[in-house]
Amino acid sequence: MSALGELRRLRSAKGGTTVASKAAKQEERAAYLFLLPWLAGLVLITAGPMAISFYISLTDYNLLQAPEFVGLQNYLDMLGDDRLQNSLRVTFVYVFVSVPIQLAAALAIAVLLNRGMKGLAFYRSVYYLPSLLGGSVAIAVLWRTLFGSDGIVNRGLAVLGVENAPSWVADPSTALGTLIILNVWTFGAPMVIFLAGLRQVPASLYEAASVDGAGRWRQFTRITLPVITPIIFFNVVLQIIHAFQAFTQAFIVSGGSGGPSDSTMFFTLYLYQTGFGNFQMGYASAMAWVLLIIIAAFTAINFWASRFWVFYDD
Amino acid sequence: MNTNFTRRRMLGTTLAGMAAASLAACGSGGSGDSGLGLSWYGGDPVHEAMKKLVELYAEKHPDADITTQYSAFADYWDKLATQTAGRSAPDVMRMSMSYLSDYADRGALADLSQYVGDTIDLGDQAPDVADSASLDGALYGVGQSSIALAAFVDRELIAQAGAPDVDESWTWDSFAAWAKDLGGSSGDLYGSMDQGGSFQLFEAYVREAGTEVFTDDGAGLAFDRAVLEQWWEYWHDMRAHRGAPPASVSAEVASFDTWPIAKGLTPVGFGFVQQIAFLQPYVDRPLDILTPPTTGGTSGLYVKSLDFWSIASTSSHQDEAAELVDFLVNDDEAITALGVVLGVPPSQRAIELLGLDPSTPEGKAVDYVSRISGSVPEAPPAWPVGYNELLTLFTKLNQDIGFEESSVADAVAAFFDAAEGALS
Amino acid sequence: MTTETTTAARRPRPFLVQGVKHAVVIAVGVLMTYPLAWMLVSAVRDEGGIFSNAGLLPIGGDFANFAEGWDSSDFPFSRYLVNSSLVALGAIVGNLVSCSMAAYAFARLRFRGRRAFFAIMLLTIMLPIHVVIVPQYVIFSQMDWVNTFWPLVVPKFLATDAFFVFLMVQFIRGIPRELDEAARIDGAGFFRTWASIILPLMRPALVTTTIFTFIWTWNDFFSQLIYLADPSMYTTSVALRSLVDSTSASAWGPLFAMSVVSLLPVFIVFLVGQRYLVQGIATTGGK
Repeated sequence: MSALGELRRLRSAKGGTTVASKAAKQEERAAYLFLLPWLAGLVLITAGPMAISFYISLTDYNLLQAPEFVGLQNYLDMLGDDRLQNSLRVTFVYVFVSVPIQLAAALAIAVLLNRGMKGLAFYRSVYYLPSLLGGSVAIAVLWRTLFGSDGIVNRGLAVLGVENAPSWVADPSTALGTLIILNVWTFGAPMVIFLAGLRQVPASLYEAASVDGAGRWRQFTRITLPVITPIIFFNVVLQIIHAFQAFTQAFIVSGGSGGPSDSTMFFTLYLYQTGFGNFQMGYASAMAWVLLIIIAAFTAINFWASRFWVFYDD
Repeated sequence: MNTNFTRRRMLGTTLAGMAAASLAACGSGGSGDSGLGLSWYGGDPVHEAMKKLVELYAEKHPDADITTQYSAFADYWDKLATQTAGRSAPDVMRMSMSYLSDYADRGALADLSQYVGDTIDLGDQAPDVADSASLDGALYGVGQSSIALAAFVDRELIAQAGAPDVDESWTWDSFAAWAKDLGGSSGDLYGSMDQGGSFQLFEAYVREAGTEVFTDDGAGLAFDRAVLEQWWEYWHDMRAHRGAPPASVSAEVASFDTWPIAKGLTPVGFGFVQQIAFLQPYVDRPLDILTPPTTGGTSGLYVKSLDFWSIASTSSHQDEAAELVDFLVNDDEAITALGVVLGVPPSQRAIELLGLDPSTPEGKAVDYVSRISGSVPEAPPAWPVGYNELLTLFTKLNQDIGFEESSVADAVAAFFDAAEGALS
Repeated sequence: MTTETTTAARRPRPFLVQGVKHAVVIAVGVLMTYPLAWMLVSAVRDEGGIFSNAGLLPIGGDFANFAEGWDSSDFPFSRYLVNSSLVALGAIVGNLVSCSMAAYAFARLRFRGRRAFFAIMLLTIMLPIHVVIVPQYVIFSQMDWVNTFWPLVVPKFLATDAFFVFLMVQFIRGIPRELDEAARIDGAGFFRTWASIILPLMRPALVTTTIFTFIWTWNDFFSQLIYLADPSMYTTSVALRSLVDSTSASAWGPLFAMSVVSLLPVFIVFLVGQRYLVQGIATTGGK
């Protein structure tokens, strides 16, 4: 809604005061033409449901009967909802632990698998394998056979002399940790994006650098990193958004419960249970808008900070 | 300035209008005009059997055009809720007791009483089963099965552990003593599966004292805080003395293969009686079915249907839908084709028609229902709106106690607080 | 062993360094392949073996699970593979065209509201799908598009995947501006600049988009479950999930067998796609 307001402000501010040159006008017309599909999608598919969901967040809506306007009640109810606050805590831990580790791993592996090694194509594919599994139900069974009480991890520990280790997936103090491992382990997507970014580094830069006698580490910090900062930035922004919305893995591994004892109850999982399980779509929508504000705030901070470390060529 | 203001107001009203128009009753009905929509939830065996039924129906009604949809239980409800919100629910749908009130109370299901005795014959069903889906004088579904809670017992494992055998004279007290004994002496077994989080077995426990879980109007809890406190204390004590496994073992339970009784960790489990058919394949030794323990011999169990065939209130083919429903529960060939995949059949006639071997798990389940039908107290009314929320919370709170994240008293307080919000 | 294919100016690396590098890559690689190996093995095990065994020895199994899984539903599994492929192909074409157009406008062209539109675009991916799916369903059902592939494909032609728009924007901004300005000076219009300068130069991004769109559409479950009603329209992910039910018996063996089958196309797409990812460099200046 605020975005619409801003749009209006921009429009009225421009209102005939600047005399646009012909070329600029042409460029503007071209821009809108290129944006046409996106604008159509925004109007027809995205904005409507978003606006409706905001309206629903101000109502009591059980999905089956017409929504009933209740003002800010849903938002106020969140303040006294312990399970919701717990789910926020779980989500924040997840975001702040798993995103940095995952991105560091993805970047390191991408650099390692970029060039100068035999069998690169094969290794890349192998490293992407876990990410292919995606939201497969098989993950639930796999995670149990890995981290269950008689899973492969505990069998390994037993060999090392650690007996009676707990079930990692079924203990509230470790269950979230296994999901963080799962997320780090599926670093394929950011890795591929880093790889694609590394492709854009002109080889001539490296050649010039090696003529200057720069070592590999210096080449990396002086050439590679600066050139791919836009891509690093993209991955940071998107992985944070993605992690805040984490749902599928917790949903599958915990069988939809967010258990044990709400220890893997992500914000979106609680939102889903509230909306579809308990038929409180009004409350769920209010939760979604709170999440949107949180994510938007983090994204805005990211964009602000990007001026200090992201280098564009334009 | 002025134009901005009106524009904003216009935007506001348009949005509200859009929302209302799309989400409120927009009248146009049913799942399209072509054919009769039939949807169900379940696993692979259910899908197989149901497809056979649809084929049978098509043979007998060559003019009928049935379109089917099916999903696993969890996915089914996401889809059905969305479809119902979009006014395109399938004409005939499988409905669970957990959601019946949610859908019926909000006008999503058709009242079938007008068809009973006419298109739909319920004459073969016991009154408690036939009435299972009745709410405020209307009937919102036809029972698919007759279901009761039961204890599953692995007698060979008990013997191997050197513990005395059990029978239906067990009380909660004797059961606890026995279970803790077995767990304590064996070292790697536990006496029983943890049932502290089972809202359904708790219902049976509450009913032993003659009260119900919910008030008649479904607006509140009818039992005393002390009863719930006793229940959770009981299981907390069981866990502390190996009468039941620690919380981290129970938290691993997902599908039937992960039940502690399936893994050979304990000789006693509890569940709805037909679940023995899903459980037995994972246990090498034969499982027996007993009535769960009681406090003083008075049973709190009931026999009723927990799954139904319901008809969407938006359906434009309600008469044809009713005919299909009657076929699904009453047709001899349909009964035979279905067997027990939806649970123990809802009528004695169907049970006899199947003539199951009493030594098979299915046969044992059928025998159990026939055996206790006459002796259990009258069934409670349909579970109220909000049941589902309390069901999951109940399990979660028992887990909190088990992991020492909450005291029993706090958990009881949290449950009563939540019930106030969920029930209305 | 130092048969370097790269520039001669580079210092020859000792055998040891290469060896260590390979050892690390292989060790981590084993961790990465374990799940797939385990799935393959589970697919040929009988039910009991799947859960009791985290090892990789295929005991007590045969390929019956494949036959059973292939025919376990109304339609042979190939039907679902075809459906998934159709949806994925439509989504790929849609994303490539519409996202690259929008990205070009955002990255290179000046117009009023650019920043605001860009912010709005990012906002659209911040709301969880669960609260917009119901209104969206209502819209599509009023267009009579439920139970068709349109709700899954048409949005992609309208650049609703802001992820890819943003991705392409970042890549375009990495392309030196002189290149397309030179083309403009030579008299090329915006459309020609986009088609013949920008698109070829952002090939790595387009390949990435293709790979991800395919994999993510293939694995996507929720929207396909909601929009596809008739079993003949089911995609692999929906068909697979119908095999597992927590309230009754689940067909685990066939599930794993068919999971493996449904992974094959994604794996092949990735194998082929990443090769083009490597070739992308040729156009930006050679190795």
